[in-house]
Amino acid sequence: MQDFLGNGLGPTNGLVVFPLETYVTDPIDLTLVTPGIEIIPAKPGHVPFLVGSTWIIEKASGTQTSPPTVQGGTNAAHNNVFTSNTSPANADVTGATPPSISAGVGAAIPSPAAVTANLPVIMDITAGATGTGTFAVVARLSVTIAWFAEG
Amino acid sequence: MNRQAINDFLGGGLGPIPLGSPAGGGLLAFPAESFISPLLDLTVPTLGIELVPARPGYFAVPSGNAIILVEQAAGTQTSPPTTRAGSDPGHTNSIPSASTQPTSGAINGLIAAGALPGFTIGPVSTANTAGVQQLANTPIILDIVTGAQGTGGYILKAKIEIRVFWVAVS
Repeated sequence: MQDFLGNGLGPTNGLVVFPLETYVTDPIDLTLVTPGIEIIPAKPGHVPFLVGSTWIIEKASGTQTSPPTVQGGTNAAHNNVFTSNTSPANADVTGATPPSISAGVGAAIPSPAAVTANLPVIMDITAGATGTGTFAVVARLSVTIAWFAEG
Repeated sequence: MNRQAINDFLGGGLGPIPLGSPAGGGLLAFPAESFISPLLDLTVPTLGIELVPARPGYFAVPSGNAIILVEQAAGTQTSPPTTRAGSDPGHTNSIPSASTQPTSGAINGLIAAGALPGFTIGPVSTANTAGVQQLANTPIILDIVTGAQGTGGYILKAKIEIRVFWVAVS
């Protein structure tokens, strides 16, 4: 039944295996301050660990002079999956020929940070990208995660 | 139903492709997978923990560092556990025997911050085992060679995760 529901096996006394999963957001206007973007849904009994991420630039024009500031997490502050950082880089946006890619939000462990099961990962754009010359940047964020059964 | 259709139906990928096959280059037979141990007491030497099962015709290549989910910790860690893992008889071709994670700094930081359960970096990277023979058809076995030590009611229980991709052998 668990397999049917796609919820995995949950805690066991043996091996637990899940395929790595990749989630991709809708296109996001990175020039706007936007809190509360759900990038990974909750999985009952599990916590996600961020393995890697990539920005997919869908639209870019003008010159980016400052990248957006983003953070994400399952906690109230939205920073226990990836801490506040600036991406995509100016050099990857200015002059880009979409669709193109750029390094994502990082995969380092926010340390020390508690994690909680049964919660989605929420991303906030706390500062929008800025630029000159009819500047625009629209991108999707791809995140790859591993699931840990908690308990 | 041809071979492609059968494999698609079974969800098992294409399997090894004979050399010289014009369609062979670049095919990916299995997705990367994440294997997680049961909850382990890292203070107790424990040998023979099966971490990754055998897959006939394939060997597993660890991808990056393992991740440790610390579920219970208290006191002060003064010495990390020593771990190793591999498909070879010495259990060292996936995680070399000198691995000493989670570090005392990482564990004591989680305890001090009350950040439990919490993630920390684990042993293994592909660079650590470069040039070492890999064996197909064999599980990766984890050994806790020496247990972690600490003071002040010290305990440490955690799960160890390893990500692998599968390489078919001819």
